[in-house]
Amino acid sequence: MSQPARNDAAPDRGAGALARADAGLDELLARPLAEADLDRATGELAAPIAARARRAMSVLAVRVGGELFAIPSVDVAKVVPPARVHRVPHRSNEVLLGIANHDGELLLCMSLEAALGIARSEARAKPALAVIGDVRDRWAFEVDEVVGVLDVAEGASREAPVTVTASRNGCVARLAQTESGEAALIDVHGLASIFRGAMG
Amino acid sequence: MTDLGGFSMHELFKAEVETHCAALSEGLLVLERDPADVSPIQALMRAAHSVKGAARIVGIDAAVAVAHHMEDVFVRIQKGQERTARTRIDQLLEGTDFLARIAQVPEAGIAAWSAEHAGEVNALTTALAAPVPDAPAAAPAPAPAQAPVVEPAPVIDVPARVAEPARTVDAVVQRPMPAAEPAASAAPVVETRAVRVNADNLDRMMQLAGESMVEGRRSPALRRSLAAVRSDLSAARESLEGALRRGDSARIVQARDAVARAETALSARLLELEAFFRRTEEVSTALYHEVIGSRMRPFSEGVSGFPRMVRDVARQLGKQVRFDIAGGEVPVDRDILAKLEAPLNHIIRNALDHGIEAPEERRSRGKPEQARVMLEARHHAGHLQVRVTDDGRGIDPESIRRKVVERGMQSPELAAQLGERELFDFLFLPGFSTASKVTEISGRGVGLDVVHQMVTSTGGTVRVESRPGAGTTFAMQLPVTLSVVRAALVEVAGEPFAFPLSRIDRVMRVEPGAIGSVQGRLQCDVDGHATGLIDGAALLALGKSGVEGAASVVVLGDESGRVGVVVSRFLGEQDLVVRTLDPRLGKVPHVASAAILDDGNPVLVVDVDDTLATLRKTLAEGTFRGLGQSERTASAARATKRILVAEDSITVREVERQLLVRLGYEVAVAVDGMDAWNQLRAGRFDMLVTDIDMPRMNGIELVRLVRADARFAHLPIAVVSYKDREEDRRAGLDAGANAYLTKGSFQDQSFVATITGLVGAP
Repeated sequence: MSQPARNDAAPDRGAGALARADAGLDELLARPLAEADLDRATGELAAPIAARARRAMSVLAVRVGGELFAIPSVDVAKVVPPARVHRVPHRSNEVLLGIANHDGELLLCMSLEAALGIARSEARAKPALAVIGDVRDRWAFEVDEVVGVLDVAEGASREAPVTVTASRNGCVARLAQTESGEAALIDVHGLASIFRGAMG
Repeated sequence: MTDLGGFSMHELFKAEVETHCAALSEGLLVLERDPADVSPIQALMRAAHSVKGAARIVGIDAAVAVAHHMEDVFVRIQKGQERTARTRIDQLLEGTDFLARIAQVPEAGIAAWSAEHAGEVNALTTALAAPVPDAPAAAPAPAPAQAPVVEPAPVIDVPARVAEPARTVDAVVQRPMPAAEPAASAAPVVETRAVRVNADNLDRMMQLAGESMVEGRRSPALRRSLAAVRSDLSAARESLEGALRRGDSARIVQARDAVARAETALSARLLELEAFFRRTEEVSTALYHEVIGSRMRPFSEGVSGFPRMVRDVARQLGKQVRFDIAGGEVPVDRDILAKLEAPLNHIIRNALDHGIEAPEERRSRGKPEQARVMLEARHHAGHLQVRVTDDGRGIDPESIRRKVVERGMQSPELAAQLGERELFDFLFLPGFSTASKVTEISGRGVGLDVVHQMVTSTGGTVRVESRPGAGTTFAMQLPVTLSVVRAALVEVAGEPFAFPLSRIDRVMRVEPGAIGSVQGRLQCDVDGHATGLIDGAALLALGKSGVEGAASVVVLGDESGRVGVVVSRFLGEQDLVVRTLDPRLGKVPHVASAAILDDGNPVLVVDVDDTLATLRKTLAEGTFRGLGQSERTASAARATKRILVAEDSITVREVERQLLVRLGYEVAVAVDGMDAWNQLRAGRFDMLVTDIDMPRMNGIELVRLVRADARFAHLPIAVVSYKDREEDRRAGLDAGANAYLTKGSFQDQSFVATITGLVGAP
């Protein structure tokens, strides 16, 4: 008879321990909030949304024609080594250079310099091919050098002077302050429409 | 990559029913031919059973009921409780058709469709459940409405064995739309479609993909062992340096031994590395071929429905027909196979309806009562050839000639000059039928224009051969695949270009002395014919290369006209996996597609048809020199109105051109819609005159395209066609043409009056 009695006792002990833990948890959760915590949480909730979302914007900084440009990272598909460009008969022009193969994908290669109306560097320092746009509407262009992926703080950009906007075919509306200097922020949609316009 | 989750159960059901219905039809035809042969029964039972199960899963009760009753019949036949009767076969085929039909109903409409066809389901299941009247196998079937003759049994040749449905799996691939659309549509449309891949083929691909992964994983180990050899070497060098400094000869010997060991190790690693490279190359090559091979399907797969169709149609017409398929195992690109079905269907129906005589007539002509229709496929000279041959009454070219004149499509004088081949081409015009009666089977020759359109859309050709009284052959020549071409690689203006080998006449080196100049045009001799030469760089608008010294020439065309394209040099031959050009580029003149070379660089594949069309036209117009530039020279002093004439028949094109030139207009010609569209965009025109039936892009498509472009909103357009039916006229005007004329209008003043009315005086 002693055997079953011991068996019954074991679950009892377990249940008791659980009940004690639950009580402890309740006690912990029911504890009044510290005034400081409450203030901080209230302040966070009450803050305007823009201020709460205040985060740095990530950009791909590239150098082209001696100038620093920034492309929002969200619009950059990839950066790949430069590849040989094949001209397209009756279509290639100063903006549309041709097609290039990267990992079996034939990319349309454009000239960023021609699209933005800036002079092409005589020799590219560390040439790379930047690919922008989504999978159905991709554009590639060569840059002189990729500086890196940098953060631009929210307040660290300003409207570009009209002279810049006009001379960059409307593709640069803002200038962004980065750790590598002030970069012209490229409006990818504007750039893509210039590229599309070069399709003939 | 694949997303089977994107498939609804209903789509899977549909695919399964298609496979099983093909097996059911095939098995039933074997059973019909030889009721004593019960070998197909097993496969038939399995097929009916599988359909039943699949239908149950998707909850289509009507299909469950029909499949169930069909299965019961097969069980009874297998157990010997029932003999195979002709009427039973008919019921079972009817059941098969019903299953095929219900599988085509969209998922949302199943309930409504089932309710609507409840009576049919009832009739079918009742008939299948009822004992069949113990009639002989050749009992007459219910008489069809159209042919109230006592029917002889058609004999249809089908493989004696019911093949297991080929093991296939469905996969989903993403496929961009072909680049035929002009740049107008900005974002390319991507559609998802399902394709069948042979399961063995897929298995091998997966094995190879796994293998390449395994191979790839070996490289770090190789790298480590090489690094070990390097550190052994540096240790040896250091100890050698120390020993040399101290002049310790024993150490020097030791160090030398260490270097020798490292050398041995290095040789071993090198061998491993070589094996690794060889293996990687083998695996990637094998994988590549499997992937390419996955596009091919046996010809028989695309034509499995035809024996049944021939049987049914022949019975309905009261004709005796033996139908044979040859070359069922010939591999065909799946896209081409899919495109072939409709044209073949039309051609075979036409043969049965119009080509094959009734048994009595055949007897009276001394032919066997049983007619033959043969469908053959084979590979020949890099092409897929498909022929449909019948031994029926044939087509009399003279009757076509009479009809052409009767309909006022050509003047009697011009018609008299038309050759047999040109006459047969009229058969491909819509509404042009030699049959005097309209029938349910093949209509009024409707369909042959569809045949023509389908075949030309794949870059193929179709022609008719016929001898009155002896029969007719429709011969189609199609590319074997749309995805791989064997090409001659050349360099033009520093860039590689490829000419599909099947589309070139030859490549040749022409010594400077063999190049002549006539009126500023360069030409050389090919087989005794003076052949015009054109600078490839100028043709492709890549500048000018000029011919210095011996010229490398790619000769295009055939006996009817050759043209030589001068290239910088030949680079060799290679198989290219072609892919469509980026749709954002629109139709690029003279370029068909792109590919990637062995060295990883892109290459463009030359559109030979387009190039030939341009070259022949410029030769005819005499604007050969400077190609592309000279066209604009006259525009400065441009006062006369410029008309573009798009027409594929050289005779009609010339007639139109001369008529308009005589009136004082400046005329440019285009050989098809695509050519016209390219020219319209490149130059300035005051009017467009176009034919409807043209290869590559027909007139209706052209007119639509032109009207959709704001630049041409007010461009006067006149359509000139052989098609004189009201619906054709309406289609032309609806697309946006201002006037619709028939080719008979050349003979009266209506052509001239319409043109001057639309565009004004020259």
